Amino acid sequence: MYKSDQRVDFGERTTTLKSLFMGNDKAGIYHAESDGKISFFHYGIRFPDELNDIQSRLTYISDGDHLLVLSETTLVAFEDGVWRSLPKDKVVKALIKLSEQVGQLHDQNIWLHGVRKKELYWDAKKSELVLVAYPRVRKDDSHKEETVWRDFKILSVLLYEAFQNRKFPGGHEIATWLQNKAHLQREGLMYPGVTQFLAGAVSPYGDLAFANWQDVKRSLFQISKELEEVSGFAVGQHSTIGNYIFRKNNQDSCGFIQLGAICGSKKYKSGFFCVADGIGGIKGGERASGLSVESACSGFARAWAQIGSEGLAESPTYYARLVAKNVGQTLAEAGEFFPEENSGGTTLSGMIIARDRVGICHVGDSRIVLVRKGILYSLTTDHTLATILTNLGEKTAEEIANDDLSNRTISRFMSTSIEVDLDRIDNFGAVAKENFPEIDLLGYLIVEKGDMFILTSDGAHGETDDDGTLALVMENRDSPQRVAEALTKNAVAKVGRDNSTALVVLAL
Amino acid sequence: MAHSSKEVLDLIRGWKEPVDPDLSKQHALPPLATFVSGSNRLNIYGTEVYLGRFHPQQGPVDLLFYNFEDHEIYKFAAPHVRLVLERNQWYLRPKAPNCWTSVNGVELGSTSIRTPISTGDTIRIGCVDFVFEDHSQQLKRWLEKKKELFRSATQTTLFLKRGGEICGPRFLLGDLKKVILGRSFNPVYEKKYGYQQPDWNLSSLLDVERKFIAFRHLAFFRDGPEWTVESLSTRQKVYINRRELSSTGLLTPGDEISLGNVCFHFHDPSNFEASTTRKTADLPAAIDWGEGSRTDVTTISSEDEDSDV
Repeated sequence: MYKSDQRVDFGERTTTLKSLFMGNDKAGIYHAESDGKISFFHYGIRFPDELNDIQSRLTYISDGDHLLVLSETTLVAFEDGVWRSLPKDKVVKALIKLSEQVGQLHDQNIWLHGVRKKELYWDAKKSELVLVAYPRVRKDDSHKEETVWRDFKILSVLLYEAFQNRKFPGGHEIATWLQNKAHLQREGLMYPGVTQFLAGAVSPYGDLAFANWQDVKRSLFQISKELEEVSGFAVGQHSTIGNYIFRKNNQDSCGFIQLGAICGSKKYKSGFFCVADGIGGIKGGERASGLSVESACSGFARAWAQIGSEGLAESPTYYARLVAKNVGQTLAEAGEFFPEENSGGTTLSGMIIARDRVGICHVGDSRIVLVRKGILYSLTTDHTLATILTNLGEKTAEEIANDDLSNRTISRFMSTSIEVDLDRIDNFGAVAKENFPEIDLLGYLIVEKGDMFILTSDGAHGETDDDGTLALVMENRDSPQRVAEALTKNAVAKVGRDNSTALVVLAL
Repeated sequence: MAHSSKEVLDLIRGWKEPVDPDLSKQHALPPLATFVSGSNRLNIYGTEVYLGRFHPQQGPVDLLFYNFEDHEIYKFAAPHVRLVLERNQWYLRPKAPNCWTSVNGVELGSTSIRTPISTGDTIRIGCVDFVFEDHSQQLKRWLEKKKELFRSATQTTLFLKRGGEICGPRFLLGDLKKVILGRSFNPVYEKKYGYQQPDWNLSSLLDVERKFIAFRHLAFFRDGPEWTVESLSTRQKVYINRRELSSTGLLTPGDEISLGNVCFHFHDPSNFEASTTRKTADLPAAIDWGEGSRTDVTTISSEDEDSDV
């Protein structure tokens, strides 16, 4: 048996054992200090099979009899201060993960006989608690009812301390408070879902006690749902024919469909928002853009009905692009069966918001921008000849800026004759990917409260620059409707050669 | 992902698009050459093929350049080059005046000169560099497989072509009187307006192919031993041996029928030799795709084709 502060040699590496936990010497993992870094020292010849999961997460070196596990750089020892400063939703998510980790062991009849804080490490990168030491671990086919309670007692401590920012008073004390609502009120322990969890976690037996780890996880899940905010969005939209004498009609369209529901403990928040700028003759353009918006919104509604908000939130960009793909087919059908009425085409820039996630689809030169904390970010790249010539290096930025024809010539659009192929339906542009790393990592943008998404046709954004747009947004920031109107009215006041449309979504 | 894109599209559509798994099968023949650009591998399955972009005025290309950036596509002509395999040697010939084509850095200026190319050569088409891979050592196997495919059809059959040659999927015309090619459409048009769904539903073609197929694109009629075709679509074109079909046309064995850029081979086993010999596939004209000179159209005669080395 090793002792605290004992030095152990692993070839060229020497480590000093710290905080040695006493316990079962075949499954214990202890932590140690090596080269100034915290590492884990596994006491025993090899990892037991049951600990493969932990083993797979760590890299280690061995002296033949012992393993020195090199810690993941993001893991740090549990600290009360760090834990209590975490947002409540992160706390609950971390506890859910921990309950799963313990649950995996329980499923193999491995019982921990209690978990202490010093056996937990915090993975700041993943916002996860990692159980690194099992000093009292035991395999037991005939475990008693309270073994579940014993292994999850730590969760009530962690939950209480993070929510109340003070030391856990003890299970008996909590059990007493739970009998008396006035007492709970005095203690400020009134969080929905939390009291139910504490009641389960401090009860070794009886109706309230947790039967298994799934029971624990379910109870934590209820708290996480309670913490979800579903304020939703405020939406404004405006579209105008403009006042240019050669514009006979408004060929722009925009629209949205917003769905909000609370079904038991599940809260749904999702919507589809889009603009479309028709091209190809007076009648054809108006018809194509209108049909696109209708088809996109109804397609989204059908997807929502079958897949649900939670499903859409898994991959909003994937679904947004498929909504656009279906619009392409709808336009091609209309073009073939009713060619007289359907001869044009349209741009389409659309956005799915599901939960706190945004995915987009984009074809043409309409735009989606995000204004976050006073900064404007382009979420789309224009599909124009100007972009092509820029990418080819055939024109300078200045030449392109002054090249009206290149800026007005679009390189992709939704057609009533040829159905757009999925590869040509774009998602987030380069600027968005540079500024929001989650797009490359997860495939979607994460919404923040106060985010304002602005979808415009070129008639609106073509009459101002980013600074001008930002100024109009900041002047009217509390009202999406006023922002939409300000953007279109600005276009009318300028040269205004085109129809002008803006749809604005404010995340509340 | 819980659902495949096909399943999700069916949910979004509100109706289920029928699937023909044959249409997404791998090519039945071995490739004879490959154009490689990064991870994009474009296989050539025929011995004389046009490569480039599709433009309705110019008719189909055998190998469509896709999965490229907009600015790269912008520099592709329709078609851009013609590739011919003769006596185990590939020859490349530019087909679009004033559009960049080079082999190992040497520009191929003239559309009347063809250049031999071999494995490892870098071919620049527009602004994209391709590395050429010659697989013509598989020619013998390719010929056997091709013959085998044709032999497997005992009645008049329409074969799908990809990359310049028949690839496996087929539709048996046999004794049928009338056959419509197209792709399935929203049943509303069927129920409300009486349009009939196509007999050969091509909606399971690759995305880049199916977009050229109209919902009711082309009708085949049989009168005795003869088959005629009639273009049904007002929006998508039909070509017989690369010439645009204006209304109806009589088919002969071995004809190449193209719906947009998707080509089919009309095979009549009772006339096997004629039916399996590829007909001259000339372009109607070469268009100068260079900017500002789109009206400069040069007529190409069939004698002009690959007669000079």
